[in-house]
Amino acid sequence: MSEEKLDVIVVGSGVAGCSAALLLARAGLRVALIERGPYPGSKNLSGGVLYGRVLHQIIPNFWEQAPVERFITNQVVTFLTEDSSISLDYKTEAFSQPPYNAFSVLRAKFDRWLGDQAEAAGALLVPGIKVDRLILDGKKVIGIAAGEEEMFAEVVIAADGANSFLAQQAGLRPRLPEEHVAVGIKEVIALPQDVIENRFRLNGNEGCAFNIVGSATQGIAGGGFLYTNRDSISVGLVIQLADLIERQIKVTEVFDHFLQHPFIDSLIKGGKMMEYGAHLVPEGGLRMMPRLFMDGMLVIGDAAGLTINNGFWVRGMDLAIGSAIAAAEAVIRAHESRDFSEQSLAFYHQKLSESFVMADLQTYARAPHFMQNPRLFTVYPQVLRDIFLGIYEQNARPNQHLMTIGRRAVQQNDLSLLDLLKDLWNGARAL
Amino acid sequence: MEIQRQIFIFSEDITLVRELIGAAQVLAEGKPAILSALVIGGSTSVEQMQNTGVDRIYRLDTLPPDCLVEDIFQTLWGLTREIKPDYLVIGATTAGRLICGRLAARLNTTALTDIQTIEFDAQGLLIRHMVFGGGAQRLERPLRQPVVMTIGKGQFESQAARSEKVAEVIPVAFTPPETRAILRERRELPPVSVNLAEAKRVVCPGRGIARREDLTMVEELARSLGAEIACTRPLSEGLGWLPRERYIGISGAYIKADLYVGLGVSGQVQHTIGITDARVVVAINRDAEAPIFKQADYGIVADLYEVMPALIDALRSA
Amino acid sequence: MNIVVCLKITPDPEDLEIGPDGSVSTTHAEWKTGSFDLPALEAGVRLAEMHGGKVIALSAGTSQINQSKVRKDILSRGAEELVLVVDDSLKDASTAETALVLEKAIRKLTDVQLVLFGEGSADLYFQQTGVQVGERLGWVTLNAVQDVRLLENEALEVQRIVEHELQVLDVPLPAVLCVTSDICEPRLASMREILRASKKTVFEWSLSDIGIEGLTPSVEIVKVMAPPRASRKGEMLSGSVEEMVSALVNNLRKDGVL
Ligand SMILES: Cc1cc2nc3c(=O)[nH]c(=O)nc-3n(C[C@H](O)[C@H](O)[C@H](O)COP(=O)(O)OP(=O)(O)OC[C@H]3O[C@@H](n4cnc5c(N)ncnc54)[C@H](O)[C@@H]3O)c2cc1C
Ligand SMILES: Cc1cc2nc3c(=O)[nH]c(=O)nc-3n(C[C@H](O)[C@H](O)[C@H](O)COP(=O)(O)OP(=O)(O)OC[C@H]3O[C@@H](n4cnc5c(N)ncnc54)[C@H](O)[C@@H]3O)c2cc1C
Ligand SMILES: Nc1ncnc2c1ncn2[C@@H]1O[C@H](COP(=O)(O)O)[C@@H](O)[C@H]1O
Repeated sequence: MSEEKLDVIVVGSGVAGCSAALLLARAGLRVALIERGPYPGSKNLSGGVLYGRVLHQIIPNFWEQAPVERFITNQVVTFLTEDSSISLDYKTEAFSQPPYNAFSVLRAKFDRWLGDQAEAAGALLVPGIKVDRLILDGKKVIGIAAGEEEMFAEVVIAADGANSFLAQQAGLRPRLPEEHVAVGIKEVIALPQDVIENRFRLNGNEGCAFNIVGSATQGIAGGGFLYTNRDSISVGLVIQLADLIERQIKVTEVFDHFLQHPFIDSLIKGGKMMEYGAHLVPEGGLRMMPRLFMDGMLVIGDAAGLTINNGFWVRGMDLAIGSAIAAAEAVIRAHESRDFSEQSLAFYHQKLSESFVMADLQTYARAPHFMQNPRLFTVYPQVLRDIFLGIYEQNARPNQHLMTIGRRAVQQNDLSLLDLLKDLWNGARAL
Repeated sequence: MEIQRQIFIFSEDITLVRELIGAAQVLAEGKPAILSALVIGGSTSVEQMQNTGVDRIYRLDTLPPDCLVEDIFQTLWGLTREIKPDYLVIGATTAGRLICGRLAARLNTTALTDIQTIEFDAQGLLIRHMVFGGGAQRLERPLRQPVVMTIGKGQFESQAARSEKVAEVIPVAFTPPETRAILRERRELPPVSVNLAEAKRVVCPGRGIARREDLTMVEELARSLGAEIACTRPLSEGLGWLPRERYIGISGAYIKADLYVGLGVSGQVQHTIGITDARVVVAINRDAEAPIFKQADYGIVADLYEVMPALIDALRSA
Repeated sequence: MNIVVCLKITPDPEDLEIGPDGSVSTTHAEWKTGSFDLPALEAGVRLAEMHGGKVIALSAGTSQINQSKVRKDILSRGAEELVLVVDDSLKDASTAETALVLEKAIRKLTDVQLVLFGEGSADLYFQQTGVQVGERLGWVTLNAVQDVRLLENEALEVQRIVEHELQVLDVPLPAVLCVTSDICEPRLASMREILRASKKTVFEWSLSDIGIEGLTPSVEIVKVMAPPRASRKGEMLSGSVEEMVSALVNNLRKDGVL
C-alpha cells in the first residue's frame, strides 16, 4: 500500500469536500476524495440556494460553466395561515448582475460538477466507498478504513455531512442531540421552463426564493422554502425534530399538509415530482460547533456544524466552502512544515475565525434559540392575517383604524403585549 | 414479370419453423414469393411442413453426432449463396442468434433480431422490436439487402397445413465447418418441470426474499393458491435459487395467467413486460414507491414476511 | 496474451423517461456500463489473474461514453487498459456498424487471443454484436457461454447451456465468446483499485485511427415509443395486514381468479 501513500484523505464529496480537494490538489498535494455514493452529489438532497461570493473566490466566474439553475433576484417572505398568505417581496436589479448574489442549484448536478473540477485539478475521486472508521495511532489520526481495506494519509479531512460519524468517532463531538436537530424534507417538482417563468414572473434566468412561515408547519417550530430552478421547483420544510417527536406527528404528514396549502399548491400545480428526500440539519449554530481539529484530522462543512438555520431558510453550502478554504490553507501550511499536529492544524480555526463563516455564525448566534419560540409559527401569522383581513375585507361596516385592527388582532389571538415586545426584541437581535 | 421474392427459413425447432413460415407469408406481402426452408430431421419433420405454403424443403437428415446445431452454418451458407434470398428468417434460439450474426456479418448486412411485427409502407419493410429490455419499442427500416432476421416463439401465427402447395423436398449434405470448437461432452438437462406460459396462477418471488430457505414459505403459498412458482431474473441467474425456466420477463418467460402475485418484486420493465397478459396482477412490496404498484390491480404495501403467512391462513380458512 | 472485453456504455435503462404521448427519452439518463457486460469483464479479469495476461476493455460510442466516472468504473474492476472508439456517428449505431468498428479496433491491438462479450447490451439487448465480430475476425465464436477455463495447450474449455442441453467444448484460440450474465458475479471495486484506475491508460481512438472512413447506417430508426401497457385497477389496499389480506382474497374471488 506504500505506493499509494497520500497526503490528504477527504471523506465526503459534498460542496465542502469537493472544494477542499480542489484547493489541495491545485497546491500539488496528493488528495483522495472518498464518497459513498456513485458520484458527488448522488446522495445529496437536491436543490438549494447557493450564496456564490465565496465560490467565486476559488473558481472565478463559476456561474459561466457550473450547472447553476437560476440567479436569485426575488427574495420573498411569506406568512401563511390555514386560509391566507401574506408576502413581502424583495426584488433588486443588483442581484441580476455578475457576480450575482445567489443561485438556485440542484445538488446532484452541482456537486458533481464541483467534483469534476477537483478531479481535473488532480484530486483522486474514489466513489462508491463508504468509510467505516478512522485509523488512529495513539491520539493521532493516520488514515481511514472501509470494510477490510485501509488507507493512510498525513491528514484526514472529515467532510461527511451533518451526521459526521467521523467527528463522533474521533470524540470531537457527541451524537447530535435531538433538541438541536431539525429535519429537512424536500421535493423537486418538474415544470416546463415557460410555466415557471410566467408563474413567478421571471425574465430569462432570473429566479426567486420564498421563505415561508406559519401554518406551513402546523405550528411546529420550523419554516418552509420554495426555490425556482430552470425547469423545476425545489420545495421543502425544515422542522425541529424534538417538536415533531413530542407532538407525535410524522414529518411526511406535515409536509403533505404544507404542499396542499392553496398558496403552495398554486405555485407547484401541474408539476411532476421528480425527487424526494429528507435529511438532518444541525440546528445549533455556534453553540453546537464541535472541536474542529486534532492531530491528523480536520472537520469541515456540515460535519463541523457550520449551518445557519434562522427558521426560514438553511444556509450551509457557502459556509461549507468557506470552511474548506480555511482548512485547505491550514493543510497546505502543515504540509510545507511537515507538521500535522493539533497545534499546526489550529491554523484552520484561526483562518475560520477571521472569515465570514464565523462572523455570520455570530450574527445568527441567537437564531436557534429564538426559533424555539412557538408563537412564531402559530400566533404571529394569525395576527398578521387578522390585520390584513381587517384592512382589506369590505364587510359593509365602517373601516377601522389600522391601530385598532392591530390591537384587536393581538387580543383575539391571546397574545400578551409583553410577549409581543419580547419577541420583537429577540427577533431583531437574532436575525 | 415481377421478380419473385426469395425467402429462406431456418430453425432447428420445427414448431418454430411453422411460425417462421407465418412470418414469411407476411414478408411476401401477398405477392408471389418463393419460400425455402432448411430442415434437420427425417420424414416426420418434412411432413409437418408440407402444405404450409413452403415451396422448397432442403432436408438434412441428421447432424453428425459430435456437431452442434451451429455447425450447420456452412451448409446454410452454401444454400444462401445458391438461393440468394431477399430475407433470411431464422428462429431466435441460442443457435439461431449465433447463425444470424454470422450470416449478417458475412453478408455485411443488417441483422434484425427478435422481431415482433412486420409491416410495409411506401418505402418498404418496417419491423418492430423491443429495446431497453422492453422499456421501449422501436420501429426500424433495414437499409441493406439481404435482410437477416430472428424471430422468437409466439410472435407470428403458426402455419397449419392448409395450402394446396406441395413442397419440393431436396436432400442436402452436411458441409463441415472450417474450424470449430470440439464437443467434449453434452448432457441433457433435467426436463423442464414447468411451463409458465400455460400456468393459471403464478406466485413470483423477487429480491425481497431475503434467504433461500424462505422459498419454502413461498412454496406453501403457491400450494394454497394452486399456483406455479416463477421468479425475477436475479433469483434465478444471479442467486441460482430457482431454475432459469422460472423467471419471467424479456429474457425469460411470458405468462398469460389469470393471477400473478409478485412478492418483493420492484417491477422493472424487463420483468413486467412478461406479465402484460396476466389477467389480475397483485403486488406485495414494502416500498410504496415501487414501480410495480403502478402496474398492479391490487397493491399491498407491507413486509412480505407478514403478508405471506396471513395470506396462507386466509386462503386456508376460506 | 491479451484478453479484450467489449463493453457497451449506454444510458441507464432504469432512467428511461416515458412522456405522456408515449415518447421515450434518455436525455436525463445516467450513462453507465451495461450490467450484463460487467460479468464478461469479471470473467476476463479472473482468467488474466489466473493465467497471466492483460485485460483490455473496449467500447465504442459517441463522446458521451468518455466520462471519468465510467472510465474509472471499468478500470477499477480489473481492466488494465481502456480503449474508447469515439465518433458521434455511432449514435444509434446498429449491430452491423458496431461490429465493424469493434473488429477494426481489435485488429489494431496486438497479441489478442480472446475476446469476450457480454450477454447483451443494456440498451439494445440484441445479442448480436459479439457473434458478428467473431465472424468478421474469422475466429471460433460461441454464445451462451456459462463458464470458461484456460487449458494447458493454449485452448479454452467452455461450458454452454443451449436450450436444454449442457455442452462442454474445447475451443482453439483465438476465439470470441459471448458469456451469459451469470458466468460470475462482477466484483465491487476496492479503494486501492479505484486509486490505481486513475493511473491506468485510456486510449481514445477516432474512426480513422482504426481505418474506417465513415459509417453507412444499416438500419433507419423510424420511431421509438413506449410499449403498450395493460390497464390495471391500481387499487391500493389499506388497513392492517390481516385486513389487507382479507380484502385481497375477497377481491380475487370477485374477479373469479381463485
Ligand atoms: C432541506 C435542506 C435545505 C437546505 N437548503 C440550503 C440552501 O438553500 N442553501 C444552503 O446554502 N444550504 C442549504 N442546506 C444546507 C446544505 O445542504 C449543507 O450545509 C451542505 O450540503 C453542507 O455540505 P457538506 O459538503 O458539508 O455536506 P454534505 O453535502 O452533506 O456532503 C457530505 C457527503 O459525504 C458523504 N459521506 C457521508 N458519510 C460518508 C462516509 N462514511 N463515507 C464516504 N462518504 C460519506 C455523503 O454521501 C455526502 O456526499 C439545506 C439543507 C437541507 C437539509
Ligand atoms: C437487458 C435486460 C434484460 C433483463 N431481463 C430480465 C428478465 O427477463 N426478467 C427479470 O425479472 N429481470 C430482468 N432484468 C433485470 C431487471 O432489470 C431487474 O433488475 C429485476 O427484474 C429486479 O428484480 P427484483 O424485482 O426481484 O429485485 P429488486 O429490483 O431488487 O427489488 C426487490 C424489491 O423487493 C422489495 N422488498 C425487499 N424486502 C421486502 C420485504 N421484506 N417485504 C416486501 N418487499 C420487500 C423492495 O422494496 C424492492 O422493491 C433485465 C435487465 C436488463 C438490463
Ligand atoms: N458499442 C459497443 N462497444 C463495445 N461493446 C459493445 C458495443 N455494443 C455491444 N457491445 C458488446 O456486444 C454485446 C452484445 O451487444 P448487443 O448485440 O447490442 O446485445 C454486449 O454485451 C457488449 O459486450
